[in-house]
Parts: sequence; structure tokens; C-alpha cells
Amino acid sequence: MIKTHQIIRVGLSLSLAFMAVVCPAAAEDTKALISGDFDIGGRAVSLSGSKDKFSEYRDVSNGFMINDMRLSLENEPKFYYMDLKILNATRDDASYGIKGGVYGKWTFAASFDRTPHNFNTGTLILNGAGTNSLGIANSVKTALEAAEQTRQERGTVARTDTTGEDAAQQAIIRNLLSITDSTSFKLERERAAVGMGYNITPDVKTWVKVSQERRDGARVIGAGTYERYIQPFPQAAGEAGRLAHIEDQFVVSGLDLAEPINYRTTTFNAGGGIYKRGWLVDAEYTLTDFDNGFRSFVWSNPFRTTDLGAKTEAGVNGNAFDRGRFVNGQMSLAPSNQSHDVSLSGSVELPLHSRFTGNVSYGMTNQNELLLPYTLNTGIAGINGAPANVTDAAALPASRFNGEIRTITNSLALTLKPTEKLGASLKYRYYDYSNKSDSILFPGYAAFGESYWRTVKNDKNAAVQNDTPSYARQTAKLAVDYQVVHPLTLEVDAIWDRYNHKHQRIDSTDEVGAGAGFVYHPIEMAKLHGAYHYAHRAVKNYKLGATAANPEATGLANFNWADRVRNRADLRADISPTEALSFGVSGQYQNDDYGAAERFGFKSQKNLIGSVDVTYDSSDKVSLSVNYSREHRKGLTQNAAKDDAFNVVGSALDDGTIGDSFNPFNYWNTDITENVDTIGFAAEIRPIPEKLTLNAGYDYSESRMRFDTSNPNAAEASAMGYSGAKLANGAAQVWPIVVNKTHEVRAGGSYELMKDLTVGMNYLFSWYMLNDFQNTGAYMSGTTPENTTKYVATGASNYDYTAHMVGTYLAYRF
Amino acid sequence: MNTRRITIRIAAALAIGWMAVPDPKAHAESAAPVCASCHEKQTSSLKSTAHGARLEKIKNIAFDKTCETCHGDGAAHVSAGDGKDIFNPGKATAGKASETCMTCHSADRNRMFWAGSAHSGKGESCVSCHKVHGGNETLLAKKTEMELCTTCHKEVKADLVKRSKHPLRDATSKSGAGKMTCSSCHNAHGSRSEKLIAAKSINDKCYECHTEKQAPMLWEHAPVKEDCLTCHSPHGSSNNKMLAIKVPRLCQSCHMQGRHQSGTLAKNSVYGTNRSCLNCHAMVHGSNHPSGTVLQR
Repeated sequence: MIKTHQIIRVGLSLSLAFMAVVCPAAAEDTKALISGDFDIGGRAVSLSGSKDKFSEYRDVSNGFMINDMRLSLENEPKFYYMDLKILNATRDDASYGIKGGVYGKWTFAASFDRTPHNFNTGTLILNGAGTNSLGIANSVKTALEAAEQTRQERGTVARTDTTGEDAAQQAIIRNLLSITDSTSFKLERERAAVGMGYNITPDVKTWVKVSQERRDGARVIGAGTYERYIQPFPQAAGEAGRLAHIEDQFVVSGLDLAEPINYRTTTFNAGGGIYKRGWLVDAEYTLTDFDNGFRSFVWSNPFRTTDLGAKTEAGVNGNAFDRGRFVNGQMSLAPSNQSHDVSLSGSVELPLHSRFTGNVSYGMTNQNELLLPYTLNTGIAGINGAPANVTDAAALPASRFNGEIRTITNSLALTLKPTEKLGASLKYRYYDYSNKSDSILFPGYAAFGESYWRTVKNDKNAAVQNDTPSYARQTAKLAVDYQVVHPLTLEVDAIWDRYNHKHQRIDSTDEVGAGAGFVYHPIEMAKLHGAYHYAHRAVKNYKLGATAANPEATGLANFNWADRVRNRADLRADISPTEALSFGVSGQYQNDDYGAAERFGFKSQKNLIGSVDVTYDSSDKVSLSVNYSREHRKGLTQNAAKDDAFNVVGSALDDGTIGDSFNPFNYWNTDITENVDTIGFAAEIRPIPEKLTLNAGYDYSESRMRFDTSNPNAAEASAMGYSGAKLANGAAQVWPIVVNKTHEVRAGGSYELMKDLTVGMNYLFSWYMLNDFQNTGAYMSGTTPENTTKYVATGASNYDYTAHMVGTYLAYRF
Repeated sequence: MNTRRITIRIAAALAIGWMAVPDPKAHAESAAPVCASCHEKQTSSLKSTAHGARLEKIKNIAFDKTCETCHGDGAAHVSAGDGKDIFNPGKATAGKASETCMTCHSADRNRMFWAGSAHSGKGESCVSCHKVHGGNETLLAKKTEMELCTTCHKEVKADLVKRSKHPLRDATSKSGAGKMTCSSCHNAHGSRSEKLIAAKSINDKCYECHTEKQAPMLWEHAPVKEDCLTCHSPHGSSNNKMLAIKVPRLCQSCHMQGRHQSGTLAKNSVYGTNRSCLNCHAMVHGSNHPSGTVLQR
């Protein structure tokens, strides 16, 4: 395995070796050039709040730093060159690169890059984060299990603490959280690459590149399940034969875990081609090998020391209650895989200023990871039809998945320019994603917190067999532009986009669209662009809902597969009264309407975006830019809470023909409205040109997202004695507005002490605030029917911060 | 990592380099004397660019002929002594301007799909983005790619400062550039794919960094392999994980099979808080577990 320091050493050694060869020659030869620059300095950061968010993809540590270092060598007689580039040396976001060669003959390049990704910091009650085994002391498990309140003890209302055991468990968890050290969830990404290119002749080029990327760390991942409670309902006026309602309640164990990340990706790419001015052709091959050091991870369930299966209300083996009682859980991780891709491309100039370009590629991705056993829970072995050896992979119908994807891509483009005024392009693209993986029929699976052997895949009794979804997409576009008069060019285009699906809920979608636009350029200082596009996507054979093939509600269309009408308009004006001054105004409107005849799902999305910007750039003294943009986005979703008994005798909304369990009394809609304001300002002033430079900048962004949920049939429901909706979980909810705000102020200055030697300093104030009701503490103990007393989160949800950063630097150019 | 050793090596490299330093500016003094007599600023700024410094080495075109490579024969212009009789790509139509650059740059696989591409088709030319007489390392008219591209793509500029985004900007760095650039995903010169994506498809581009998502899974979540953009807004989002819609509403756009999926969900419901649906259905990108049927493990 290549290690960081080895890469750096190899890179630096190469550069030294190269310089050792070239520099003596350079010293003797006045035509040799050595140039470069370096930038070193120090930095102090004062931070309150979330360091993880402030340093999300960067290292913001204090102290001395080598910010930037570049060295370029050129040796003219043989045209050797070498460029060494180092950014943020030795830091967690460092980047090192070296490239060199002989101009027009051969090249080599090597690079090493580090990028952190700091997710957040929270409290994990299990130990072993970053490994494939998360544990907890047996004494804790014993205490928590002893305080388990079973369904029989709990009674009919889930949140009732009849024995005081819920309170006891909560106390144990809270104590545990208070004494546990925090865990930093983060990812380190390191990528090393080397490559060489060789030109056999000036027109015939070849190359080879190899890279390896390492990713290590841990991120939060959740595991949990729910229980089912039959809730009595008050009989509504005029209602006969009312059945009790079933609710899904979250009273069994669930917790945030640490998913270990231990990825290695190796990529090899080689190719070659002939590149002439009038035509070119090339071929390349790419191999990608992804290796996951952990194919799974196991966690110790803090609430259990003994395996058990789920029970019925009566306490015998069954489904609905006392779920999640396994000692150890196991989760699969991304499987190791390999992909190969061969690509052929070509382009040729044709008469009438025309050009034809094409690309064909064939790809294959395989994964053949050993499958894990159904469960580690011995408590369900032999029960409800589960194999006696259910915890043994030998019980599976196949030991491996034999996953295979084949892709064929074909892109063709013909462009014509028969006259100076007329241009046209015709493009066709075909992308075939063919899933050749095994489709395995399983006798069942460990469901509902791994505590029940379920022999159907969904509520509509589909067999437990994996789908192998495939699709082929074809897109064709014709565009024509014509200069009607000197300042005005008109454009028209038409598009056709088809998806054919296999083993999915639809057979195909066909989208056809057309658009028109213009470019108006009356004088050199002003330019106006505008365009309008219309497209309609039609769906063929969306499988009927509430069936084994499509278990979702009847009348629900997934928006990515739904009938859609799209209207879009774009406008942009640029005015430059002087060479230094420019104004820009732009606007964009898009309206998508989905699933015209469908009752449920994502129904519409409207976006309206406008922006203005002003730039003043007097190259000697001042450059200024300011921009403002406003986004307004509004999406509508129509939904309904599932009801097991929807007949409401005497109501006009007693829709007994729907075919599944969605009573109009429980319909609910959500409008999600987001307004985003963004302001940017940047200024650079050079009071003493080429000596003193001062700069300042400000960025501001504020997003406010509203969720307006309503019951469209609330009046009818109220008339029947219900409040808003028939079901409590169908009633409109008020969600707080989610607010994101950021301010960033930058200021700095640099002074050239002597020729090519500059000293400078900069200051950054960065402030971020997120007000999101979803970001909970580590432990919730709520009171709503959907709430839980047992889901233990990490509380890794603090993103707010205030940061001040002051830096100084010394830059030398030679 | 042995920081000290690396620092010593870097210092040694610099020291060797320093000792051998001739004045780089002395190199190109004789360039384009005729043009420079009137256009001193332009010829001077050209010297340090890739064209000025390397055309001779790569194309065997002497620097004093460099101007005419793009501007055409200047004899008539010199005789006339005014701004006429010379071709200026900066003032020419987009097609003519690009055609000039493509004289040399068409023999390049990265520009193979330029003709008819989103930018070329919208009346943009090479000089819309590149400043041949200066600019940055790749002759871009702005300091960074992000700054340049967001000159027109304002909606993207706004996305880049939202709650979750890819690392395209970094206010702590001197240039303001982050670890990624626009060209990490897009080829502004045209591509074989949609949205100028520099890969076979949008998903194939995402897999280059998120390789763990590439493999076929035992239990697939169909939209995932079809288009990452069904759920994600890669330039930035006000939601966590660059999600296009906040969970649980994102999931509820397509799922209403059972009871807990189809509720309005109170603000402190476990189904709606923390990671919402993903509290339990963590494997939304697919599961390889025999019991991962509903993407829980």
C-alpha cells in the first residue's frame, strides 16, 4: 500500500533529481530559466461553535504555514521543463504536484492531495468508531435489558410507562451520554497519482495514468425499527362499523452508529490517439478497482444481552411487538468492485464548415462480494419458517450476488455552418445501463429489527426477490441558429428524450420539447440573451399501485418517472458602458408540473431566480464587484396518511373505490417554499500601483424554508367530527421555518517591500447559523405517538460557529 | 510524516534553484518589435503566457511571429497605421473568434465536442472566458474557474455558499478557491454527455469520487443508479447532504406504502427528526445484505 510520506518523498526526490540534472546546465546556459514563488506565513484562528463545520473540507489550524510554493524550470536547448507546485504543505489539506517533460515530446506528472471532510462531533455510546466492531460494556446491556418494558407490560398505548422501566432506561442512557467522550465523525481523503504522456510524433500521442485514493474515517449511520399499536378511535357521528386504527410507533431500540470508512480506489487509464487538425481519433481504457476494507460491521445492541424474536400482543412468537431484541446487529457496507471501460472517439471536419464527432464506449462493473447471513439474531432461528441455521450464510440460496452492470454509450454530433449566418447541430446520445446481476429468490428475510422472519417483500405480498433494474436512454437534439439581421440571431431547437426501463415500475418515458431564443447584440457594449423552452414528458405503463409489482399507493407517481410539463425561460442582459464598467441582469423561471392525472406525489416545482451584478475594473487602481441574487422556489407534494378503515358512511368523501387505504379525510398537502438571498461584494484597491494593494470582500447568504402542510378536506373531516384529518398522523403539522445564514467578511492588504518580495496580511470573519428543528440532541424523549424513548442519537448536529482568522504572509517571486 | 525532512528537501530544492537563477524577464526582450511599437502593453503581457512562452517550443513559431498567428497578416494594418485591416478575435463574431483558436486547438481530445456544445451554441467563444494577453495560468479571464463560471451562472454562485456543497470555494485560501473546481465535473469546451459533464453520464462522473456507490447492489433503490440528481443538488443546497428536498418530504414524494411513511410527522417525531427516514433506512443507495430488502442494513 502506498503511504503518504512515500508519495511525498518520491515526488520531491524526482524534483530534486530533475533539478540536479537541469540546474548545472542552467547555470552554464543563460537561456535556461528558473522561476517560481513561495508564500509562507502564520495564522491564528479564534473559533466558537462547530469547528467541524468551519473546517468542513479544510485544515484551519493555527501556526506557521507554507501556503504556496512553486518552482518552474526550463532548459531551452532541449526544451525540458519542470513545474513543482505545493499548496498548504504538511497540512491536512495539502496538495503537492510536479510535472515536467520536454515540450511537444513527453510529459510526466505526479501529485498527492489530501482533503479532509469533517462531518460533525457527537456522542456515541458504543466504542470502536472507525472499526468494524462497535461494542459496549455488558454491565450496561444488562442494566438496560433489565429495564425493558415489554408489550404485555406496556398495555395498549405505546407511550405509557406502566412499570417505570422506561424512566429507568432513560436514566441509564442519560447517564451514559453524560460520561461518554465525544466522537469526531470525519473522513480523510488522500489521492496519489502519477502519469506519463509520450508523443510518438507531434500528432500521435499516448498516455498512461495511475492513481490511488485512500479514504478512512467514520460517519453516522442509523439503525432502528418501530412497533405496531392498535389504537382505539372515538366513533364519529354517522360512522358505522369503525375499526380500530393501527399506528407505527417508535418504542423499540434504535441508535446512531459509526459506519467505518476504509476505502481504496485504484484507477488505471491508458490510451492513445492521432490528433490532426482536420480529424482525430483516439482510444482509451480505464480500470477502476474499489476495495472496501470492511464489507460489514457488527454492533452490540446496548439494550440486549440475549437474543429473542418478536412477539404478539399475547406474548407468543409473532410480528408486531417486542421487536429489535437481538444481541448483535450486522450491517453490510459498500461492496468491493471493479469496473472496466473502453472508449473510442473520433472527429472529422466536413465540407461547409461542418464537423462530425462521435464517441462509443463499453463499460462493465462487477461485484461478487460474499453475502452475509440473514441475521445474527439466534432468537428467530426456526420460528415462523426461518431456517434453523438462519445465522449461518450457508442458509442462503446463494453465497454470492454476482452483480454485473454493462453500459454502452454512444454520442454523436454533427455540426454545420454552411453560411456565415446559419449554423445547425444535430446530436444523438444513447446510454444503455444493463443490469446483468443475479436475481435471487430468497425464502424470506429477517425483518422488523431482525426479529421476525418475513416471507414477503412488501405489504402486497411480493416474493422476496431482488430486482435488477436496467434502463436505456436516448436523447436527440436539433438546434439551428440564424443571424436574421446584423445584431440579432435567432435560435430554435427541438429535443427528444426517451427512457426505456426494465424490471422497474414503468416501461418507458418519452419527452419531447422545443424552444426558441435570441441573442441581440446591437452595439458592442450591450448584449441580450433570451430563451424559452417547453417540454412534455409522457409515461408509458406505470404499473398500478397497491400491487406486488408496485406496492405504493394507487395514484402515486414517482416524480422522476411522472408525466411532466416543463416551462422554462431564461434572460440575461450585459451592458458595458466602458471597458472598465459592466452591469449584468439575469432571470430564470422554471415551472415543472408532475403527474397530471395522479393524485399523490410531488406535483409541482416552481423556481424563480433573479440576479444583478456590477463590476468595475480599472486595472491600475480599483476593481469592484457587487452582486445580489434572489431565489424563490416552491414545491408541492400531495400525500395521504394510510388508514386501515376508511369508510365514512354518510360522507361525500367516502371513497370506497380507491383500492387501497387512503381516505380523502386523511389527505394532506405540503408546500415547501424557500427564499434565498445572496449578496457578494469584492473590492481591490491599489493606492500605490504595484506596491500597495488593499482588498475587502463580503458574502452573505440567507435561506428561509417554510413547510406549509394542510388538509385539503379538513372542512368535510371537521363536519364528521374529526380535527383536520381523521387520523392524528394525517393532521397538518406546523414545522418551524428552517433558516440557514452565513456572513463572511474578508479584508487584507499586501505591500511590496522590494522587487518581487511582498508582505501581507488578511483577516476573515466567518459566521454560520443553522436553525433546523430536525437537528436534535443525543436523546429524545418526546410525547407524540411517533416519538420514542429509545432512539439514541449522537447529537452530532451542531453546525453554528463564529470564527475570526488573522493571517500574515511573506511572498517571494523569482 | 517526517515534516522536518520534507522541509529540508524543499529548502534544498529551492536553494539549488536560487543559485541558478537568471532573470527570466531578460529572455523575451526581442519579441514582436513591430507590434510592440504600438501595442507594448499587449505584447508585454503576452510574453509570460503559455502562448508567449511556449509557442516556439511546441509549434516552432518564433515569438515575433506570435501576434500574426492569431491576428493574421499585419502588413496592411501596419501600412494603414490605424485600427483597420487587422483581425481581432476579441471583437469578431463568436464563430470567427473560436475558429481562430481552433486552428491549433482543434487537435485536442478535450475540445472534440466544442462545436455545437452548450457554450458554443449559445454564442460564446473562446475569448468569452480566456484572456489571451494575460489571465491566469490557463489564460482564464478571472483569477479562478469558480469566479469565471459564476460570472454567468449566478444561480450556481448562490448555491456555493449554502448549507451543504462541494468544496469549490475556500475563504481561508488566498485565491478563494477550494479543493474542487468547476472543471472537476464539467468540460466547458463540450462533452459527450449532458450538462457538459466530463464523463459518460452524470452518475459516472459522481462515481469518480464516490466509487463506493458504483457497484450493482443486491437490493437497489432504482432512482439512485439512474440519476444522482433525482435527490441531490450537487452545486449546493439549503438541506443536509446536498439534498434537493428536505427529508422526510423528499422520501414522501415517492413513498406512501405504509403507515409511518405516509404521516405528516410532527416536528419532534423520530420519523422526521435527526436523519429522518434514514434513521432506519440508512442504505438509501442500496444494500448488499440478504435482509436489506427495505434498505435498512
